[in-house]
Amino acid sequence: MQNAIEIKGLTKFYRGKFFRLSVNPSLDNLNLNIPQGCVFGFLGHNGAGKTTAIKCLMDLIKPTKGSVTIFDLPVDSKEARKKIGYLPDAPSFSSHLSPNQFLKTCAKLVGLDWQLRKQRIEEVLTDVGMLEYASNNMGSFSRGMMQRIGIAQALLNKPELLILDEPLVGLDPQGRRDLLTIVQKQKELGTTVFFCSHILSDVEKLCDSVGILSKGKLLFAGALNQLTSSDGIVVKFPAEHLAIAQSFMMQADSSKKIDDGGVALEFITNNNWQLIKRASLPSNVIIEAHHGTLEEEFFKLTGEDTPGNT
Amino acid sequence: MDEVNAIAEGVWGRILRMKILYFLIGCAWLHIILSSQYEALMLKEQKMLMADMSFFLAGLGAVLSVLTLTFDLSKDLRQGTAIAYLSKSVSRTQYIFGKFLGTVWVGVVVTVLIAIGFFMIHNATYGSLPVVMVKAHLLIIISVLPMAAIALFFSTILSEAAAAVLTVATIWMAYSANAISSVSMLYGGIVPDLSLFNMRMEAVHGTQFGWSYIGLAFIWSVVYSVGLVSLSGIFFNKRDLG
Repeated sequence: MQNAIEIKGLTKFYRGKFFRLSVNPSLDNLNLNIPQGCVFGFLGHNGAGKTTAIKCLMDLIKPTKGSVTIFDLPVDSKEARKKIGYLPDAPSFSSHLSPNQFLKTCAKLVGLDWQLRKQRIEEVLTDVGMLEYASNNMGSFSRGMMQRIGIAQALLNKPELLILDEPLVGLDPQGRRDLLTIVQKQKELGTTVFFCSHILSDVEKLCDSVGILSKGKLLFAGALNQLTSSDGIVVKFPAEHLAIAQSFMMQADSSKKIDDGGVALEFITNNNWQLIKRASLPSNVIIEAHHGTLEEEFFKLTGEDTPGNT
Repeated sequence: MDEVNAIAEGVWGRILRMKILYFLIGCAWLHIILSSQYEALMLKEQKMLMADMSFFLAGLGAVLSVLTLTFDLSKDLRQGTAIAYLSKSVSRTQYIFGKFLGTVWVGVVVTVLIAIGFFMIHNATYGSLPVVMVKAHLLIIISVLPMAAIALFFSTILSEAAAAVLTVATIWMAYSANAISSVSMLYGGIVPDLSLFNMRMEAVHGTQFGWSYIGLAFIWSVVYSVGLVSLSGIFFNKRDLG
């Protein structure tokens, strides 16, 4: 299958005062291939380099080293651009324009025929729930409304690759749900979606693959289930066996109460669950494979503790 | 070319829709009308004052029109409008060329409207309109080209405030031919010689100059603008955006 995005050795040092290159790179030798039709979530803390990577993808900033191709085309070629829809981070488009005027210019730039323009603009505005505000001045729009307009302009050319930089920021719960529906719809249409977000639960719901970036370095890139696959066991002790559970408490990596008053112990570190395996446990003690959540794996990879874990 | 037109249309479509623009043009016309009433003050030479006032106001209109570019480009970059446009199939060179053309069109409309107002007022007051007045106004209209190129150049490399200040300073220097004529490398070279477009004196005193002069000034301004817009394109293409 053809790759939608191919990033090879992408490195970016920004220039600071007196045009000196910064000491630490914003992107450090990033290599990434994203197959066509994949929904890829790009994760990382603030300042990890996600937006820099996306801007390199869009040729908005020039990499210090490395190359990017989109559907095997150079990123600055018009052919590549025709296939892309892009939502910038925190857009605040010209306040004196109405969505209709702004999208009309965008429609001309993507080469839509004038007969089709009005219809397509109405379609995308309906998709993002902004049709009733089509003639209002964008100066009065909230951040969430502006975000929806940003998504509308990204969808205008029916892109084969949709690049969304923090699309969920500023959206209310309804807006978030609408966006997730749009991404789902695009996924069904075979569109490749590349998006970065801080909302890990949404990434987990939508993405086939994820990439985790920290301080400009890619820590993980691959299928989501590869990241959250079984890496230990969970042993569920019913209430009547709390005493047995107590004896394993010290070896467990974490514990939490379960519905029937019992306790679930997680054994992720190898040595600990070998101990459990050897022990003879009552028959109503349930042993399940442990599946890490994206949040747990994210914090594990980036070297931080999962918030709220005991 | 469609992409360039779309960007240009975005610029002039927005500015020419502003009601304040027509209010200011109306004010300019009113000023021209009023200047024809200073008979006692001007010792019956108020006709010259009126003509001079129309040239000054048309020139001011041209400068203010090109200054909008310095704010427009930076604002578009800051707000993400430029980034949204540049993510479509439009190159950076096309984008700034569209901005340039849109601004030139705004400048031309503003200066033409001020000139038309003056022609009508002059004709209504004195019953005739000397051709030299039309020619001098035509030169002001043509001067929008190099001035817009200067504004574009500074806006592609500097922040909006710095670009606006340097644009005004360069235009002022370029009109002050006498002050810098001794620096031959600057005058008529890096800094354009905008005094070429200043024929106010000749027009006010009725001194004739040929159409060929206007033709040459037009060719010069096109060549200068193409050069400077291309240079701006090179800088803008190398720049990190957003």
